[in-house]
Amino acid sequence: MTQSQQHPPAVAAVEAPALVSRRSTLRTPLRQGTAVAALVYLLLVLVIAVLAPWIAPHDPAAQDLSNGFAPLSGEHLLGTDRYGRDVLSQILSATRVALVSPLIAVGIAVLVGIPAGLLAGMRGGRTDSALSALADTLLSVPAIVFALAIVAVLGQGLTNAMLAVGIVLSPTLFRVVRGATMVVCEETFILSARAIGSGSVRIMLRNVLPNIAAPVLVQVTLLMAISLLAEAALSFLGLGMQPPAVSWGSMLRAAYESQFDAPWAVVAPGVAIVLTVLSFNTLGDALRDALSGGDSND
Amino acid sequence: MQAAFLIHRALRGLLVLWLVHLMTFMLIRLVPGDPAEVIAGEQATPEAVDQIRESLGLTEPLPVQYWNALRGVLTGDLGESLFSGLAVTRLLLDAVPPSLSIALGALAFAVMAGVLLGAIAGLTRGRIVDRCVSALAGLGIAMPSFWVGMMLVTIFSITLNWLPATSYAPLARGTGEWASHIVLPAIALGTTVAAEIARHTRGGVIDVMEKPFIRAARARGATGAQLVLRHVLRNTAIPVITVIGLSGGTLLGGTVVVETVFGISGLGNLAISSVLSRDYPVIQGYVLLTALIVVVINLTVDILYGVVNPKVRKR
Repeated sequence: MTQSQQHPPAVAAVEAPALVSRRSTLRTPLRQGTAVAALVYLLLVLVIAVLAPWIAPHDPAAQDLSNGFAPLSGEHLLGTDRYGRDVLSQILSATRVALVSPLIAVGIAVLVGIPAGLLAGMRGGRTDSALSALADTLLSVPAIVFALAIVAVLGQGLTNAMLAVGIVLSPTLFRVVRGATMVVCEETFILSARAIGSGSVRIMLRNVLPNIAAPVLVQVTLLMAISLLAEAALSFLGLGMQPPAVSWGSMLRAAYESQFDAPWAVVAPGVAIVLTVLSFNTLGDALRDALSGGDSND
Repeated sequence: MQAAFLIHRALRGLLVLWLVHLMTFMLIRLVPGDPAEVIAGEQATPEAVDQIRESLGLTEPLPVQYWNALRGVLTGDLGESLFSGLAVTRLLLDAVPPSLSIALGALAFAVMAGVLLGAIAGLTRGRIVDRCVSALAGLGIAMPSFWVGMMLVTIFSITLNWLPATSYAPLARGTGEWASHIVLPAIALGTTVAAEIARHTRGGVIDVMEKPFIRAARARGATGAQLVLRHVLRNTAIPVITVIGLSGGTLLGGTVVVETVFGISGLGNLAISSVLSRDYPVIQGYVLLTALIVVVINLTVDILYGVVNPKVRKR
């Protein structure tokens, strides 16, 4: 393992001894409560994403130029934008993008990060050094900066932007998979699998993969949150979702451009993003606690 | 031992920088189709395309191109912008002061707010104050920095009219003027980092409070502020420094969106405008500079470990 990768574990090691004594009986139910709330919220978002065209009160694309920047009312619960489009309907119909675009990015991170991590963790040696150096390099530049460079090559647009985010997030997943694989490969059952003549691929699929599923699942949940934030940022910068289609991030761009006419229009799309990101994070933390058996810092 | 460790880290940093340079060099050559045609746009004349190809040095064989690029970097020459014709090094250096101002402001805000809130939460562990701080930290991590920035503009610039909403004022125009333009971007940029620092400070304080030496210090009569400042916070410094080191990248990346919100022409804005206009030499230079800053921050953090914790020095 390289030096730069030792710091986060070093912190964990510093905190580790107090883990057992810190568990409180009161906290666990509260945590479970917030985890359930997060799950319920995400399921609700999923339902809205599927049913958006039927439950939106208005056509999200329908303009009414005489009714721009309408305040909150019974007709338009969250008001209207510059072109008189219903903000609530836009937010509801953008839930699809909010779920699908992180899935694209995380899907790519999974396709790249998991095989590379398994390979590095099982083979070790030169393969590991080379892949780790590559991961270190990608992680040495802030994710959004590398995503910008990739978008500059691929061109703007939501799919390209999420492709870039997926590439940028791969090293994070790679590290988790590599670390977990190394730990699993020390176990005796791997040795016995080799002893009975299982090939590497079989061991990888039958023995290693199921045993690293827990940390991968946790990481994937947390990456969903990061991807949604990245989508919002890139769409806000005009590099992701292109008009007239809307995502929560591009709605914030529109709100930014008309901020002095309608200063409070920034609230609703932002709240939608924050709640969704918070839910993915809460769910990820709860999964980590549940799957690792102990609870983390809080 | 420490010198050997630091040299090892420095060499590793150089390797990373070299790989980043190699990647940015390859990136432009990976543009689907002819990069010169893509940059010139669809209506460009063949002469214009040729000129761009020439100025990017794309007519040379690949090894020669690479050698020229590497030699340029080592002498501080990153080429010229395809549009303004200005030297990339110049453009980048001119954009540093605003970005550095808001990044340092953000770091100052994050450390102050994060350590204070985290220490309070750790000392009141399990009580309502602790719960509120922890919830706040979770919220801070979930909020996009540009949204925080826009909310701050809506509240403090547009509604209350206390602080300017846009642009940057150089220090030459007075410290007060400079600071008034820095406050809101710094808070927007620093919120996520403040939340991370609060979480780690809280965890660190809780760990330290359970250590025998705290009981010993109490037995000797250390109480209140003295106990917290001399014994507790000092011993939570390591995880906090780690977070600060890791946040260098977050802050640099954050400037991209936060500068857009506040209309500040720093590094982030330069990066966005070059991506939109496909000004590849500027993008390459920007990525390389960012990597350099991150590598330097990491080295500094390694040195700081030794300063704060004598145990690390003997490793």
